[in-house]
Amino acid sequence: MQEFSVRCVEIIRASETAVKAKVVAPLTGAALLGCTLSIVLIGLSIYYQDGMALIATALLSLLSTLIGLGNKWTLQLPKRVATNPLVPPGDVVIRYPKGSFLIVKCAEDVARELFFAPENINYLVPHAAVYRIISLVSTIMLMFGVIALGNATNNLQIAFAGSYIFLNSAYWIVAALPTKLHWDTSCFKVKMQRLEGSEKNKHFADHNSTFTRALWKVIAITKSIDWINRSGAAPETDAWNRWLRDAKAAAEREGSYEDPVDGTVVWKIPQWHPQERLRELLAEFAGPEKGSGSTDDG
Amino acid sequence: MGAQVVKRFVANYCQGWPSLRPAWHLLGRAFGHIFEEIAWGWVRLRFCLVSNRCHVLCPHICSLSTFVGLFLGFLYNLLKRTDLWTASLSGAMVHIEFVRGFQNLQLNIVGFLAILGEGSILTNAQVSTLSQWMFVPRLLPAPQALLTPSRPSKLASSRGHVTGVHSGNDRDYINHIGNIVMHVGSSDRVVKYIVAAANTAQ
Repeated sequence: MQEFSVRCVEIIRASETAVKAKVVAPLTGAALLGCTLSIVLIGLSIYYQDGMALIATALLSLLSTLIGLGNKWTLQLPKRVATNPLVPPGDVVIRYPKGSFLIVKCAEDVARELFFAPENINYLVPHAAVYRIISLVSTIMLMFGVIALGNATNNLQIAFAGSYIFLNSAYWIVAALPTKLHWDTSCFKVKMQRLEGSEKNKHFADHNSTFTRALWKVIAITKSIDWINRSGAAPETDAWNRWLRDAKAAAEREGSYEDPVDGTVVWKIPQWHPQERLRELLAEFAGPEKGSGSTDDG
Repeated sequence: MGAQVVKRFVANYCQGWPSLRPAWHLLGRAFGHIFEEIAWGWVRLRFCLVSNRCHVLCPHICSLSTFVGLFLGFLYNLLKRTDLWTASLSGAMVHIEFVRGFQNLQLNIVGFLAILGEGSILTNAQVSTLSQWMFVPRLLPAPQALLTPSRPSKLASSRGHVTGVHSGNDRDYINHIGNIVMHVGSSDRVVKYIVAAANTAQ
């Protein structure tokens, strides 16, 4: 995200299914490529009557199954067992390191699942000791596989070298792709919301020249300033506190409406000049106690 | 002395050339020259780009072209001129053996290739072990990357400050899943918005 930009999204739980790895994903392609290559290598070692290559292929292929068994896990997002209809909305503000904001409108359950409660990793093999024994067996298989590979005939060694180089490039290409391609998050539905005057491309980001203006936009949408103290988004001086109160009062003048074109919620930004107001307040509070007031104009 | 060395060098270099060399070798040499031309072409292109200040726009292409050029030159030398080196160096009374031809290339260390490429595996290790495809027997580069002393107990979080507006919750990191869900949404939206815009235009 660009510096001092503001975005707003709404996240709803669309179904009760869990977050999973995508079935049709680049990683699946890489796995199927590896599987095909081992079948080809088995065929070649039978054709060239190379027993060592056959052992090497079998050991190195079964090794991946064993590693899969040891590392297989499922994701468990935290569930709220005691549900209460009187829980306030779980809206969340995310402040990124570059001073940009993302406002997430969601229910408290979703906010906890996604942001606050720690996720659980459930391993298929829960015991560490069993996992280590699997690792031991895998390591020995790897060692013997490599030894068998060294004793295979030249033709098969060239085939192995080619396969590994090919496979390695495939995995590096997959590693270069964005992480989101590998995850199936269809159980959450994300609806973009818009600010009046935000750009109409894929992100609907609203660009601002300063952090103060960005913060004002966020207040205009959330209509709340209590979270700012906890987030540490604004300095804690009298001038800033006053500015926040004024901003909140101004924010409550306008609401939101639904865009008839595509059904997006659009937030109206009331007429208020955050930067000018801050300058006035800083001057006002710096007046009585010389020099002790904040001069932070960012 | 010096003249003698040069003479022997020339004698060795030119020995029987080209009549004693097999035809395929000549072909190989011709291809080698073509590769070298391409390699130098690449290097020249790179300097051309630098002098035109294009490198500001495409630094990756520039550095890539240099590497490709050097790599092609290296390949050319390795595969086509090894026997030539041997001859010339033994002519100067120092005998150094290089690899003699493609057939004699030693490949017993091919096992090394099986354990290279840890980085690419580790990048997606967590999501790949979440998938059912993990059980399929297959070739896997660098399997030792997944044989760690202890398995991770959480997903990697990213930087950011997450604050609940009403709930009072506050975290100074963004959970992995939360981050991914938000990114997925934005790309979904593009299509929908374009479709909606097209509908209104009609």
